[in-house]
Amino acid sequence: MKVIKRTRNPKNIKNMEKNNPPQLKAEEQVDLLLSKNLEENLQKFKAFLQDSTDVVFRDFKLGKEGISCGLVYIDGLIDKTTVHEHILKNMMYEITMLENSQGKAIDKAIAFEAVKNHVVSVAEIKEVDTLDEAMNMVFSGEVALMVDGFDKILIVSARGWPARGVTEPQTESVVRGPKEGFTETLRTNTVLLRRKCKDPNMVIKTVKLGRRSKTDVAYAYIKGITSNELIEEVEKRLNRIDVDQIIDSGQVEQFIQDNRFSPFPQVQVSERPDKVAAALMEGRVAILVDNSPFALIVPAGLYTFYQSPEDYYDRWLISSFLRTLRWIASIMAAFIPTIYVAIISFHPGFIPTPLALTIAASRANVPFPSFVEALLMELTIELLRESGARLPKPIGQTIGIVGGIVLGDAAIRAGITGPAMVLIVAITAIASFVIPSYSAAIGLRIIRFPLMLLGATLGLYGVMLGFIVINIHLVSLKSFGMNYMAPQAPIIPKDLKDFTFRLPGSMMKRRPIEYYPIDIDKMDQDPRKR
Amino acid sequence: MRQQDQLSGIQVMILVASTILGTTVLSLPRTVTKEAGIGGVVATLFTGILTFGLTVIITLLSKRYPNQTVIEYSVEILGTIPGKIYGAIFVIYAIFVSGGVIRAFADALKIHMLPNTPLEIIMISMLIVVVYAAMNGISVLAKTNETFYPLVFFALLLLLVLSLPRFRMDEFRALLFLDLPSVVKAIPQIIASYLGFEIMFFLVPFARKPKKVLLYSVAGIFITSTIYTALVVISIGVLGLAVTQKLVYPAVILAKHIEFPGSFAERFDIFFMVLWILAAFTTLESYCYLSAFSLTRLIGLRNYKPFIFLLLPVIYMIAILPQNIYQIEMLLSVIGLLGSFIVFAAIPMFFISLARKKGERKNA
Repeated sequence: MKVIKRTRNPKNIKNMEKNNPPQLKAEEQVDLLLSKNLEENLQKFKAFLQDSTDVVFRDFKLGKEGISCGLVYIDGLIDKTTVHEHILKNMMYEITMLENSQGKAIDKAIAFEAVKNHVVSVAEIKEVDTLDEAMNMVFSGEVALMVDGFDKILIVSARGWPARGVTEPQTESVVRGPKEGFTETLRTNTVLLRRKCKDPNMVIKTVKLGRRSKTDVAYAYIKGITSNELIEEVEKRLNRIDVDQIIDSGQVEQFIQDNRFSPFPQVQVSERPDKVAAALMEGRVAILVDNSPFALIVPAGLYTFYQSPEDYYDRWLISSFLRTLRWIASIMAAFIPTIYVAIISFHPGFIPTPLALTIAASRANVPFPSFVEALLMELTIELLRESGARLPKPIGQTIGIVGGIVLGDAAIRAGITGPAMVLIVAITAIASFVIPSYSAAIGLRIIRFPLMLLGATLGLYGVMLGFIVINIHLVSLKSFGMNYMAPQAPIIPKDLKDFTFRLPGSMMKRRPIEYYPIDIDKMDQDPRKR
Repeated sequence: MRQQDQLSGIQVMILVASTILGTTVLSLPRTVTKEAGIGGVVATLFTGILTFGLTVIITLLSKRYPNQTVIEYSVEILGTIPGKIYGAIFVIYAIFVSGGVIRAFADALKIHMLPNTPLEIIMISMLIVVVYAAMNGISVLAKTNETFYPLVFFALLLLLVLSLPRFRMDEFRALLFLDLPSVVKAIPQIIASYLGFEIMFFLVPFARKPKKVLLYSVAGIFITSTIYTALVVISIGVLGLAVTQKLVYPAVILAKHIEFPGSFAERFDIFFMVLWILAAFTTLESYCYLSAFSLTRLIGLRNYKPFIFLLLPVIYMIAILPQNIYQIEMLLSVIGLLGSFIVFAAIPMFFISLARKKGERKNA
């Protein structure tokens, strides 16, 4: 068995690049440069690939002179019709017609050029000189075509593999707006993006990440809007990634984010091409990872997690109301349980006396302090949520009913908790699902546990301390050089138009300043005055 | 990437306004009326105008040295030894304010919100948070102020507006027989409540547009003096002069009188105190930062962060020094004297600097 040997030294990137083409043991060393002999070239391929059963090697003869040719591809990763109709059929059958019409056999000396120019009827064709390049291509779904007597390989594009179609995004459904979502195929995703924006300035560049997985990672931006510093920063951070394998964009996100230890996401994630295209137009950069339907958008401030694409499709009053609602919900999701605990244990006088008395009466049989009660119930709702998310949909609904109605009622009857606490927990749970971004919501849900501890030990003062600490953390965060809390801290008056409130589109003549776009103007003047 | 850490105009304004607005706001109506009686209203206004003038001078002075803070340019103006002494007084002042403010804060909080929590716990927990903020530098300082000040402002506004139904004009008849000398006598005491604007000594080198700093700093003073005057007027009008003079924290008592519209919360004073925590915090973080920062500059070092931890025990010692509310008041008045010295010293420094620059020009 051939083992690909590497000397590993992650800290020394130069050293790694030197070792990057897979190297075999000394006795099995294969020269990665191609030879002119087809047989040798095929042997080189086989040295690496013969153990895998899904690799197809095919040799055949070309034309009257019978020039030896070879094909290498991965079964299932290519479109068989293309290979049969446009490569093999042409090379074995139509070539004779060509020779007949020209009245002479194809010369061995020009066979390669002839194949490339006259025979293979596929649009996308490349020439490569080395074996590892060719192998990378083969594993991306291309066909390697070799002709005897030439130390070059013709790479013919015949990609075609089973892929999921474009469907409605699961995590970001909207009432109004396009219903298509990204898929697992990078090319499909870039196409969806292109269809949203036909600006020739939209650039989509690709890098290969993952030493072994060699995943295609594309980043898109609009030349002339996105600031050059931002593009350079994205390139720098992407090229810094050095791991074996990249499977999902979430892994890329964790490598490029600014603060690794923050509970708040610093990269926006979206399944929606319209959201990504809109972000590009604001002067941001999108990162698409092959095999992942989630695109990353950088930089991302906290406020971007409270935006839904519908905000821009609905009229401004509706979206302003909904956004305000989301901010309130996010504060509620983090703070309602701790405020309840603080008030019950420290400042019962804060709430109206009848209500305080009712709560006290309902808690009379509860043996735990309010903090323990709150902790128990909040943990229960997290359990419910997690079990609901993992189960198949029909069972998930059952869990919802059992958890929501039966458990709550039973817990009160069993004397474990009071009805007020169940109400608080339910409100918190609902509020945390209002936030459009899953990752932002889960961050808030986690910080409510330490907050509850603060509320239980220092009352409302503790809640305030927690609030202050969270705020200090938030304002000190940066996302790709942009202030995380902008445009609220620092206050950027012009950008406040599209913050909690979204003013009518005709009043937003400029792109957000916080991304430092090169071209700041969206429109020259109010279209209504034109 | 870009230099975003410089302070914008709005940030300068809010830094000035929220550094001034601190713990003293709770006792302000008493400090004002104790000496001057009903004339306190006028005295507050006068002190506001005085502060206005001082801020203009401090800002103009700082703008003459756009790359230096007061610690450095005082040496340039006054000479090495007097300048260093001035700087040292500033450091001591900032440390004392940090200590005094945290003690006053913890005391008020203990009385009105957490009667069973030890003072030390309140002070230490607050200090930890303040250190975390101060460690992050001036831009984070400005941004937290920006977040919290609107909330504090909202709480004060609510306090003032909701108090209006109980407002009576009768108390203000005495204004007709205003005793001007007593008004003037009260000003040195009131100026302690306005202290905080000396942060302008430090902000110019950090400002994005140093030329516009004057406008924004003055706007900060304007907002604060308006709030102060309104607070004094309303607490006299609602509580009455005699009561205002005797209460330790008239602003809290004022809040106690308020019934929340819709009565979903019974005690407005707790709501008010909760948001006031933010006001105390912003003042504290500014002074904690300033004390470490100015000490570093005084010694001639750059990295202020280790000094925050070095000063922490000192601040805490000062905070636990007073035994009762009377001694806290003593401490605060000492701080007021130190602060007045520092801000009034700006006037001679400004003119010396002006004269020197002119002299240089004549010689050249």
